[in-house]
Amino acid sequence: MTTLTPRTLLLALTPLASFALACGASGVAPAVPTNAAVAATSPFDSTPPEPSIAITPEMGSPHVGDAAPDFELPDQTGAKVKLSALRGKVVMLAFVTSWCPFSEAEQPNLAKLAQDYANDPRVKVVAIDIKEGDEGYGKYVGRTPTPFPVLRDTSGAVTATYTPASAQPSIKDRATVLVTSNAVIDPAGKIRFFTMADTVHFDSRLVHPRRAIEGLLAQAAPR
Amino acid sequence: MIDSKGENVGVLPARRRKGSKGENLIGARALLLALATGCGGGAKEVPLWEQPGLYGAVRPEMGSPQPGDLAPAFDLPIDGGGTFRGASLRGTWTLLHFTASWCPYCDAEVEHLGALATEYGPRGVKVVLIDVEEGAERWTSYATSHVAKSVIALRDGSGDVARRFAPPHAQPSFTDRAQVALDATLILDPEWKIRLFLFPDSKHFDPSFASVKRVLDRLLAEEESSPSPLLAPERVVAVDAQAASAATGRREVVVSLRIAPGYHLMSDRPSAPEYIPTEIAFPEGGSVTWGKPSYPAAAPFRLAEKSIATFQGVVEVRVPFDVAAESATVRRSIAGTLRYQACTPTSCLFPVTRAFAVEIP
Repeated sequence: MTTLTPRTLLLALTPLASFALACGASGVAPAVPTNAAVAATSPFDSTPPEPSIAITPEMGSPHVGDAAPDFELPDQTGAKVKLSALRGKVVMLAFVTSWCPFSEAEQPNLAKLAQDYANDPRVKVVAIDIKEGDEGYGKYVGRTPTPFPVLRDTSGAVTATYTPASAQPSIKDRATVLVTSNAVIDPAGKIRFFTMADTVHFDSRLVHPRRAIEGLLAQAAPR
Repeated sequence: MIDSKGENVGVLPARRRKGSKGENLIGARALLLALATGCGGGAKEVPLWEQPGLYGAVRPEMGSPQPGDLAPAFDLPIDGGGTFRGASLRGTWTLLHFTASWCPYCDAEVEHLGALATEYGPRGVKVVLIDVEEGAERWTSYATSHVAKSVIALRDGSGDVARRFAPPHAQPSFTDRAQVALDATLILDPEWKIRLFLFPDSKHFDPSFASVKRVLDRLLAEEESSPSPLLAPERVVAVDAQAASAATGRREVVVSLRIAPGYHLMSDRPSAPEYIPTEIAFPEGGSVTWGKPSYPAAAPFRLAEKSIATFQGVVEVRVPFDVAAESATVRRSIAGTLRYQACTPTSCLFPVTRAFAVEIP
């Protein structure tokens, strides 16, 4: 048996908890993964056991497996970034705004992620700032610890092409549905990882997108 | 339980340990009873966050405030003048929600809050909306067009109130702790105790508050179905005293008495000599001179064939005062006394004399 870390314990217990809740297991206490089982340090700052809310086919398109809609947007230096020109690379798109506290909490980790791959020609990490004026866009770009490309989608039109029709249908402004969403696109231009902000299991450290990038790199160049 | 430093602190802090089984996990006991009947014993409490629609509930490891705790006190300035005192909500059920005009989730919810206020108002529930860290202009323009009149809309410009509602281990990656409370929903009972504390759950996002309404229905039904035991006489009235300037220019202390629903007090001039009048007094002597208290008109209460003079609901008693010139700049806290005798339609409680403090600036 492998080492039983708090996380593996949590993963192991979760189905049991659901089972017990459904009254199937008589006398089995619902295994509530609290206290020691949750995490070693601050219980809610550990890696969430699962990625954030996945964008699934039921929500509409695009979703994992679909071609990523093409776009061309300027970054903070004025340089245009065209997605289709990045074929052959693994591309991470982080949809952000200056006002969203989740985007803000994620930003240092996004900067770190971009920095880690800055010299890796196989990977491109960019943020897409959604529907902000100069002030908001400037605020986001200005507070990053290390610079990385922040593309500017002033009208929200590009972001809206990434918003599946049935994702958070009650939110009227469709571009803002994707605030703090993350997508990882494979070298062929297909979406391979696509999540929305998960307020309960917030992956502020971007552990899951990073894993997705690493997974695609491993596939592209198997040892 | 493991605290943030990784030290094993054993169990929850003592303050919370008390009653944590029954009270922290609100309604868990009631729900369990329902579950247990179908499950054949082995009764175990189902934590709130495992109940349908309550996945975002504050969990004990997040720290306080959490269900079972008293809600943090707050006063907020009213744009255009005056102060809204959170304490004025005691005595009624309150649904408290934190919002911001830019927050897409909050915006999808705000119209449903108005409907909720209309639906639950007649059952004695107040709906209070607190805007987090926005300027007056922006909030006022949003509130005017988006927030129903049935909702008590307040603005926490500095975020200080929201910050009090952020448990230390919730969203640990947020540096601005006020934002942690954003989009949170709480149910506070008439004693101001937190009975539900939900953070936003984007995965099961439900802008119509269906799960919150289910919990509220259950809590109100519990209260309505179990004839509550009589309150201790001291707890029938919540007292709040504030110094103010009267319209006449004279200074006065306004003593607000919030009388628990279903109770009445004998008025200041009761209907029979043996009845005990409601009476507010301040100590004589010292640098503050007190005038004669001014009590409001009494409310009639039918008692068999007669009607007696009582106080019910919220009553304000005004007591004028003067401060001796030589000590006018000294701030002081003065203890006043309140004496009253309370009844319900079927029982009467012993008379009680209580002290309260008022700051004289």
